[in-house]
Amino acid sequence: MYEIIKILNYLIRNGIFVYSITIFISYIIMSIISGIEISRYMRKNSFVDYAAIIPSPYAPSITIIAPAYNEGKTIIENIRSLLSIHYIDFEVVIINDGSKDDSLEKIIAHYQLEKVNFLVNYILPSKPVRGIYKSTNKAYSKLLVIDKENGGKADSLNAGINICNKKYFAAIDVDCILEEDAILKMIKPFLEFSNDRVIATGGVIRIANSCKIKDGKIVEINLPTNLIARFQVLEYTRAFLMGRMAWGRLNGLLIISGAFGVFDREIVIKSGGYDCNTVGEDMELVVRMRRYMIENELKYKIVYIPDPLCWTEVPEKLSVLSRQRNRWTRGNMETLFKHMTLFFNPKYGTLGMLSHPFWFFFEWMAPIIEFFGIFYVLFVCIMGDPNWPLFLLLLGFAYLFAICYSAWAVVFEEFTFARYRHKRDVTRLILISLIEPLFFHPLNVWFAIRGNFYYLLGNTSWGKMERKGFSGKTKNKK
Amino acid sequence: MRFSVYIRLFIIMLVVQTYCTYGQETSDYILHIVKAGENARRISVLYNVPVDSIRRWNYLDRNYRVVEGMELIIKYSGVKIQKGITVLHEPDNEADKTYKVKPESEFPIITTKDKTNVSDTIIFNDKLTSDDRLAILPDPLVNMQKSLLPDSLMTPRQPEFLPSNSEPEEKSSGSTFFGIVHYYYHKSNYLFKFVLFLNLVFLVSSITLSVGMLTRRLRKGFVEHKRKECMDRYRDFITDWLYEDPPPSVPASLIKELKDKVSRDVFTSELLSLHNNLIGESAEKLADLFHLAGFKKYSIQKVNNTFWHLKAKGFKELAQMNIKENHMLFKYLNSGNVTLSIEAQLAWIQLNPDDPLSFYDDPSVDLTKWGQLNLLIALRKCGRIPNFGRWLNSASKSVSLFALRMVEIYKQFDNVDLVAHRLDDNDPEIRCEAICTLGKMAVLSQVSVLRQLFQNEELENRTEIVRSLIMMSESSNVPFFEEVLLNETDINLRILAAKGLHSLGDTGNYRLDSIFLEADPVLKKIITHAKDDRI
Repeated sequence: MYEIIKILNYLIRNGIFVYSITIFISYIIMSIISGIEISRYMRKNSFVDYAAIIPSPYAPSITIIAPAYNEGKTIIENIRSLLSIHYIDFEVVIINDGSKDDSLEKIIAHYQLEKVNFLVNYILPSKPVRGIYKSTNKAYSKLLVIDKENGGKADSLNAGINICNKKYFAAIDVDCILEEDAILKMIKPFLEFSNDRVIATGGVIRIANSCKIKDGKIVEINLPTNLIARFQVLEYTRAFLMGRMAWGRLNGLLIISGAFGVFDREIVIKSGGYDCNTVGEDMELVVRMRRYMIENELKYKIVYIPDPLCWTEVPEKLSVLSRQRNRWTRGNMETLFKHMTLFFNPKYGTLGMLSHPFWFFFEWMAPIIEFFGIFYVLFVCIMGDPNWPLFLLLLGFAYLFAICYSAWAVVFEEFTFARYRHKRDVTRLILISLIEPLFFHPLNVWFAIRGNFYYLLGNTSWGKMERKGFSGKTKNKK
Repeated sequence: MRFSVYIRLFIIMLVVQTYCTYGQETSDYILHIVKAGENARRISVLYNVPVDSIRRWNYLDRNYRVVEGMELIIKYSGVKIQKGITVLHEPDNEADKTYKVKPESEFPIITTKDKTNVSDTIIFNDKLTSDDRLAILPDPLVNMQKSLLPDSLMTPRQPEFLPSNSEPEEKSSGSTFFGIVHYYYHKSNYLFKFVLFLNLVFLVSSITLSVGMLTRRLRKGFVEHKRKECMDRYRDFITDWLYEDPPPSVPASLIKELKDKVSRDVFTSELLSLHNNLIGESAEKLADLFHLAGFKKYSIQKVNNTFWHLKAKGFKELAQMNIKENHMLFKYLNSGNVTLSIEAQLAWIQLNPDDPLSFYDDPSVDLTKWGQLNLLIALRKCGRIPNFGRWLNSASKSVSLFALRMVEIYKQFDNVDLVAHRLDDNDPEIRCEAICTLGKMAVLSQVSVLRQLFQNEELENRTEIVRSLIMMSESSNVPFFEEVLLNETDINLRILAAKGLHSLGDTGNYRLDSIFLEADPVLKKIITHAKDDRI
């Protein structure tokens, strides 16, 4: 028995040691790649006059698809914001996903809509469409509203794809606020490559809590006053500027945020559209698109751009944050397990040999290892005689690495877009990075563990998302 | 929306700690069978280990008792001693008391019989194997050797990278904090020191980055203030230069001031942005100012810079100020760096208006759509539009596509035959662009050709043919549209065909109404959709 314990212990300790070293090195490598990529992007785009795209016959057509469920309190403002983006050849498709509130009535009244005889071609599976509306006012000629039975976000996006006929579409959360030049910046990568087909582009999502918003536009950017939201600013900055940029460079991106992403419609349709049976439909679609391209031996790219183009509200309450992270974990697991055939499969190149295994080991497994690691440490403390000096040294190592990593993320932000103009905001971000590893991160681990548990129980719900709304009022989103 | 939680290491390293803590406990061990008359204290002395450690290794109570026949695990950290090692009780040499190792006699017996301490024996016999010699030193000699040996040999060995966990006398006797740190530093091996070093690196980096960012903010505020102040003055000066006749001379003080990079950047950007919006005499006046202020040398410096983005900036400035440095541009026209090559091409177009696109003659030129978009803008500025028929049959696919698009945009009807010729191309993308060009130019002579092409094309090109025919608005297309509407399977193509009929006015609508009367529900919906002008 003792021999077995000894072997197990040997395997665990060495396995964890190798795991920790790998994750540590991979983060450092990713930050270096991100730094290089962001620098290259900034240099390359310092010449660009985005306004030149607007009147050009080369500017591709695009549909903005925004599903909405019970968004009655802010829907009018949200649509106005979407209609005011800087682009010529675009249309805005709002999908009322069987809202129980007065969203549709409000839109019809405000935008002077009337039902049109639109034939829906159900290329992708979606719940039945009850009606399609267009405005009688030419000022809103770019607006199309679809009223359909409730089927969830993926289902609504599929309905939008069925109806739109532009070459590209942008999938966005209706309550997100887009920068005016967001589409211009997101569409550019589709024009930049001649050998590889760009099938999707993703942009950085920023946090709009505490920002001043007027007429659907951000007029003053502030750091959130709420501590939980503020933690997420740091988290988002790290994840987008230091993580996804590197994956974009390696052409290994597995996810484009559901809050805002632009896709090649033809490839999305050929890949089968959004999967309505997952809560991680955004990640699942990207993985499936990539698989489609590889399996058909088509050269492709998925591009990530570091510009802050989309502003969204993040949870300020722990209960809401818990539900969100729980859902993310389940979505992650669903996609990873659904596409297990990719796992270390050389046929799929970077996707199979790098992206999928990385996500598997360091996204899905990491919180589990962390969680059980805590108990293991406690067990050792009780049963053994921990080497406290070394314990403190390694604890210090982990903590200081976390702070240093966050500091680099703030540096990336500061040297690129520096959206937080107040001097005190930088100081606050630095201060928040000191306490984030102690409070926010353990919470995230716990939420991820709950997500795993829910997944095992077969829970497939989105969870109720409570948002304050940019108007300051509280609203509920399912 | 989902993304990784990036600071996983924090807790993971806690787990690593278990490696370290357990590392101490999982070294080699021997099994001691308690003999009559032995107690815990005696066994601990025999093996030179704490009584409490024996308790922990064997999961015993605090007040444990050992009884005869009891098996106790005794650990020797890091020392490779094989179980069952025995010795020949014949010394080879009386001076060093070396024994040959042989099977069957248990290792503790060696030390017991020789009245020496097990741990001391271990110190002098690291990594024993069955054919090695085992050195046994009598107590007085051990004590003497202890004083001569380095510390690292005198303490029980630890796992590979750990300092000792048992506190030595000098540390426990009231050391200071720095003393303890110093002790551990010297006791630890390279990996421990490396982790310590990394901690320092992270700490110093974090502090440096934080201070750096705050300092940068302050500096940024200062620079912005300076820029603003400079901008106001320079703007006034440039305006005076433009509108005063004769223009004022460039004061030496200004020339001197412009040697400063920030000031020069502000002046240059103001000058270039104003120049961008002017033409004729005013633009020439600004170009003169650019020369007089000595900016040409800075632009050339940029072009010669190793950084590609500065090179590209230099190209831009040279082109805008009409400074012909073709030899500098030429080698970058087809550079592997797409951005640089686009900037070089744009500059070339501006500087060589007589033959702006001569570089297209090189078939290795590859154009992205982004490049084409920018070239179109540059051509519009340049004002002299070349005959694109020259490149319609280019060996470079991207150049051909660009030429087809330009023929359509600039309505170069002279090239219609050449465009029609591309309908036979093997590349579907070229054919598609040719179809689109003919449609947008409404070349009626090609209507029948397009209709004939329809059957053999793939869906994307078929759709483009129907679209082009709609733009041509030719009544002879009625049977064609009708056939597509009734016989095709793709809904979008059928809707397009119905729209084609609808676009032909009364003739088409009459046909649509007739079809509607006998149509199935889907066809009815297609027709209703096509006839709804609001969509």
